[in-house]
Amino acid sequence: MEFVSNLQQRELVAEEILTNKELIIDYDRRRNSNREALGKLKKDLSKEKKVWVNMGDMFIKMPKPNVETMIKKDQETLDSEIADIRQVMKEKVVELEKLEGGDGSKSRAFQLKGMTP
Amino acid sequence: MATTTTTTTGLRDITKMERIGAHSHIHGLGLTDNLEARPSGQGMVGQAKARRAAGVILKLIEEGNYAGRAILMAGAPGSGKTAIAMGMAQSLGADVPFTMLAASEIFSLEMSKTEALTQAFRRSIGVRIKEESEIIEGEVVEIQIDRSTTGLGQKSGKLTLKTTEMETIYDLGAKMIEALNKEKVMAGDVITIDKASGRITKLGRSFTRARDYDAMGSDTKFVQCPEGELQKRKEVVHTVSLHEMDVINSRSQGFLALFSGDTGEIKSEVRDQINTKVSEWREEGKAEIVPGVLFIDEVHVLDIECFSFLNRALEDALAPVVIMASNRGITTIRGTNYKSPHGLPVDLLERLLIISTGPYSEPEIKQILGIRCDEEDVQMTEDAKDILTRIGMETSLRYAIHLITASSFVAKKRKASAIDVADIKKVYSLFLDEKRSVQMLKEYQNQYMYNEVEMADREPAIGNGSGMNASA
Repeated sequence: MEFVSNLQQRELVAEEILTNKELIIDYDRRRNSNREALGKLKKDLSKEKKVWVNMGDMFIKMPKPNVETMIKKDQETLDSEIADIRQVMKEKVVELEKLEGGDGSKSRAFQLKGMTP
Repeated sequence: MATTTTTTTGLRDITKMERIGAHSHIHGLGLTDNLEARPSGQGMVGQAKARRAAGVILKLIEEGNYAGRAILMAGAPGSGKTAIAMGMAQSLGADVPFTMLAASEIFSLEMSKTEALTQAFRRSIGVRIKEESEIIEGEVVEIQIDRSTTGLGQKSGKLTLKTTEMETIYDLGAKMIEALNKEKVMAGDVITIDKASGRITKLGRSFTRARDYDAMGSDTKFVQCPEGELQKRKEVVHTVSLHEMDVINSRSQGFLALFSGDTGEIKSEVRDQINTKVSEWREEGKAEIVPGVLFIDEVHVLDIECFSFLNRALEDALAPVVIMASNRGITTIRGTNYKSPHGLPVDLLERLLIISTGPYSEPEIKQILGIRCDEEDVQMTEDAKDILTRIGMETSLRYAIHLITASSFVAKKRKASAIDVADIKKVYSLFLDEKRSVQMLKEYQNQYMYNEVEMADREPAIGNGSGMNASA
């Protein structure tokens, strides 16, 4: 019975890791389209005062500076969100290694801070 | 750089080529999960007690709370002390530093004894550090470069990258276009771009673009289209030994001294600096100390100065586990007139845990000889093995092992596939073992030079030189 609950636990943690992985991909997709948009605003639409933005399922015409700050803010939240998820994932990987019978030493080194700032 | 582990690849598929040495058949200690010694496993045979003891110590080392201690392996020659040490090294894994040192190595003209010992100590302590970088990794879908009609002026362009999950367009500046041209990147290549430096690396061509073209270079590498997000974070963990850090920082030529081996003496200021830096990193959470294992073979060769140095060095905060091996009984400590067990001073002995190895039994010797035959890729008949085992019992295991190679050569000469009794007999008569050599000396010692025992009752002017009848 203990074996089964351990197996259950393992599946649970592994599932969480995979979900987080998927989440990072989704966030990165949005990050990239935001980046494309910022590039477009700076290059091709540099003369415009107001631009069309797609919000949800609506197109709205908004002043360009507003749009720019909005996207930039979104980028920042995305970046910090991705960093958070990566940290959580590392902890989960250590947890999973322990559940699989290791002592977590293999993946624990990845908790270190990087040498390059 | 001892080892690298990456997040992206789990396995290292490099096969290690090793020369067939005296202990190359050993792959571990041959213990079960609860530290019971298997009668034979991973190349180890017999010595169950010593192996279990070694296994217990291994567990302690792995848990990392056994630094700064020392172990002595005591036993007769050829009873498997070095074999057990090798087994420990093998089962520690690639990430824990293991240094092997024959005690005589420290007597060198270029380096003082304590310097050599300090280097050995620092070689056995690893520092684990992590490097991280942001990279963009993807398959090139399209490159579009706009040049002005005159050929002058700024170039601009667009690069479309994709992974299995997503696709995006990057705007390119003049610098990036140049880099892409230099790497000859084209649609279908899988590339990585380092975000910090902007360096482009070509990983290969995507499988989806693979066609059966004849006109394709043999070095074209096909890789899968990358998965996941485009902008990835790559983290690499290295284990570097303190000694390597010393060498890199001690000279103007830097890390090249690591390869030439010509490190010379390292100033203690450099070591102090490294120590402070490392402890700083540790406090900042940037580094992790990995205490390793230092094995000193034939430890009785060390002299009293080295022993007192060892005493002090073991107390250092950054000390590895020291394993020593000695085959001496009660003998004089080198550099003094005092006698002591194992040739080690008593104050050092007190700090040691002693593992002793006993002589092998007959079936064990036979098994070891069998393992060695496999290792050296030699066939041997059962009768020959029996005879060799007998030789091993009566002379020494080492002598019997030596005979394997020699007799395989003899067997090859007579074009036989396996070694037979006759081959063993032949090499046995060709090469003397220690006992027969002593016998020979006793019979013919008169004819040898500098024979002090018999010199006194010999006529002085026989022609062996005249200045040698120095014996009283």
